[in-house]
Amino acid sequence: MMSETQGALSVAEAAHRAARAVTVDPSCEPRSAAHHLVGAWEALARAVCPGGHVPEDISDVGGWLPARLQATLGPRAVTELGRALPALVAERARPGWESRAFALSRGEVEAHTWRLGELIARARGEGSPRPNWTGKAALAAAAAVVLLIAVRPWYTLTLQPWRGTYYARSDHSGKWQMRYDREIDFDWGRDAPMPDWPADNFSVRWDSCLHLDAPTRAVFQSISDDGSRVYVDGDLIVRNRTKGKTQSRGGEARLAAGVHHVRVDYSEHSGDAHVQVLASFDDEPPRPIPASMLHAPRGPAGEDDPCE
Amino acid sequence: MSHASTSLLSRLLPSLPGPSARVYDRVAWAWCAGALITVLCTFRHYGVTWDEAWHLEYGRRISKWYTSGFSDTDALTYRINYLYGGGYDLLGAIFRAIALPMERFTAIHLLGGLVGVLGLVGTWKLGRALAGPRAGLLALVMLTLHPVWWGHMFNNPKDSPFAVAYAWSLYFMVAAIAELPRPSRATLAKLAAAIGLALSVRIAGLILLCFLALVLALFAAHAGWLRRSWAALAAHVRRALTIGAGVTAGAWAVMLIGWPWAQLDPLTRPFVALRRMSSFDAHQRKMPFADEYLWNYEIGWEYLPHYFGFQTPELVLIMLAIGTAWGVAALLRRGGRAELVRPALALLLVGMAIFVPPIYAVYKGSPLYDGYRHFLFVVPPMVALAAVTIEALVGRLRRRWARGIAWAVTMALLVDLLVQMVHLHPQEVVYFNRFIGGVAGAIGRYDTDYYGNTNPEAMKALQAHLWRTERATYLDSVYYYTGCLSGKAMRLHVPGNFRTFKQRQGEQYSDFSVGYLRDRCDRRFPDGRPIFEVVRDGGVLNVVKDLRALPVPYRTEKGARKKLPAPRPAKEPGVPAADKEASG
Repeated sequence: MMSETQGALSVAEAAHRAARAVTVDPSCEPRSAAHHLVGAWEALARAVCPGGHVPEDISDVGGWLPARLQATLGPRAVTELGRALPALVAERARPGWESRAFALSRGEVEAHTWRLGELIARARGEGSPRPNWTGKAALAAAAAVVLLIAVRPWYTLTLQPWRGTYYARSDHSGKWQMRYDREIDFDWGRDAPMPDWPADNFSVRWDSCLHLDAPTRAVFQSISDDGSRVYVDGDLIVRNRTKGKTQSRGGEARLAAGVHHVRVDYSEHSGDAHVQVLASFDDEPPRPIPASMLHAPRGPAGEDDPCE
Repeated sequence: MSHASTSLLSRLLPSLPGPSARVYDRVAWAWCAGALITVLCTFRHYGVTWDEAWHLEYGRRISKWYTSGFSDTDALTYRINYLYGGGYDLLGAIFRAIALPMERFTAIHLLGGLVGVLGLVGTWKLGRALAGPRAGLLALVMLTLHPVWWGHMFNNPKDSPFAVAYAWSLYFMVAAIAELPRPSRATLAKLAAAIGLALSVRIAGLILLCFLALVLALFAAHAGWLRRSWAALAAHVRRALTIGAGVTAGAWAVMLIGWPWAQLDPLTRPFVALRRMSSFDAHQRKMPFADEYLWNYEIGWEYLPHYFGFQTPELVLIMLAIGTAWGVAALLRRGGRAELVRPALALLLVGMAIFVPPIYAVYKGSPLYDGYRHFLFVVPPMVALAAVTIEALVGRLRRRWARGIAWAVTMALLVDLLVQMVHLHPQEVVYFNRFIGGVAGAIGRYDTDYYGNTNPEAMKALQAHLWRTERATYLDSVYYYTGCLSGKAMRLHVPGNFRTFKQRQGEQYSDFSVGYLRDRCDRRFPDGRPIFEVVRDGGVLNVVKDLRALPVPYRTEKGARKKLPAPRPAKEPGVPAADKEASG
């Protein structure tokens, strides 16, 4: 059985639907919605006022609308509703034969209808207002995402596992510059490896510390143009001597569990430059050494055992 | 999303009273989350297609256009790409910068997967807006399990993002229809953004604006006819013009963001691009079609029906056929009723979204190739209509047990699709349905792996084979391969000691051939020793051949189709031919 309050709200909704059908129809005069809108207000007042009594001056929205509903809509919306309502009441009271200007524009009637719909939904307990904090939280989250993307803490060059010392001569001497690389897989072609660096006659020494949990038979492979060498704990494992053409060379090392210093020396004289170093620890084809097995030395370049 | 919202078609087509919209929505969200996790787990499995490198470069050039303060004009003349909006390519360039140090192709595959999931959500919303939460969930599941859609999500930089924007545009258009004659500004803004994004990938998105114009015109005409008043008609036409102009302007602005070439003459150049694209003939090539090997301009209207007929899951295809017939009947019988004008318009929109683009392409005689990937965008509305049809069909069943059986059959067919997709992975794009006998039935008769998606699997298998059989040689060797595809794209999946024949110094010949099916690449080097085949569903999609035993002239690109001369039969002395015959 529907209560009187619920019944009055249903009447308000029906009147509001009728008003909306009129206001959204461009071929209808907006003033013709006044009758339905005022009816919806009266039904709403019956539903929310104590004892179901409609106030004498329904235009005084702030006076009779319960504070709870006013709070959900906000003071500005209540003021706007109260401002337009007298014109609607006057329009309904106007005798049909009397021509009189209607004080509200189509936009104002549409806005009024929309707000009244919100109010009825709130009175029904539907469409509960979005708490203020959700908007703020969404903004904060968006800002955090933008900040994260801008800063990219997951991409810090100094956290990359290969410490590369780039020399401006092909014999690992002279002017140098250090940077950290994620893996040794470069195809510079005829370009320089970094800005303000020669495209020919340069060399690179990469150092990294390899972690092994168990004794392992490791296979290293170096593919380069020009030459390259791979050392593990100071022992030469791969010597790839080539000049002017790509060549692949491999070598095997039996390594104990623990940390091992891996060094790769690469030299470029002229023409195309590329180098790739791979390893196999599990009888599978050689692949780039996973970053999870490596960490970069933190000390200065040139020390004997940077992994100590 | 409101749980209480009623579906638009519920009064036009029969539908079930939904027991609990909230349950279906929660399942749909969980399904989307599952799809997202699957994308994150599998995006590295997909190959680099021959289209991708161009789009990556175009995206880079567009970003340079902005970062150089509009002075770097490389994007204005880049290949034929400048005729396309680069909205997705620009997004890809930004995403790649964020995703560093992820490899650029890998990053763009991740983005593709994420955008594809967005397309799933759009189709869910479309189905939900049309026929309620259960139909929405069905549409979501059916699109996820559409192998061709899923396969294209990762490495198709044009057709897949366009299809996603198309699906969202249709959803917002259906939402706007439900709000007619006065759609909210928010709905119209979203519709404009979605259409703009579609336009920023392919100018063919203009068709969405045509659909919108038609829908608004029909609504205005209907309103005027109902009121029998010219004044009412004029008022509705004015409203329709305001809506149409606003959406078009918004969409145009969004489109221009990623399209530098069009920015320089925004009112003319998009139409120049449309004219050029309508008579696009850059890809004239031969391909298998219905048991023949033909030039693509030799194939007529039957091209798209064949591919849609054989590359659409059986459930979707049958439901689409029933739904189309049912929809037409419903529109003819009840579409003109005053209270049904909105659902009728929504149904008409979905029907047009499915059928008008292919019919227009046939009418224009556009050269077609690569299956229906250029028409991937009609898949979401097809699936949505199929889902609506299932919902409506089950709604016709009076008996509870009959409904139970109907849902069980639907579920069984969907599970069957899931199993097929798992078997095909990551070659989902080569899916063919059982009407033609699956992939095996389509090989040689239709295009299957036209995108080269099988190459990574083939290259990795070649690497593993050599490592297993000639380990010592492997470590000290550089192998040269050929493969009818950009060497850079193929190199992504193998180490640096695998190089394309073009990188060999001196005479250019290959040690191995990796042949996918486009241009019958698998049939090159007929005397090469096959060492590996990529097989799916009984069909061979890629053949790796060892050429090292062949003479050098038979290992070059020129000699790729040559057969070795047959060895002369050794003469058997002393036995005349006549005697041999006599002896049987």
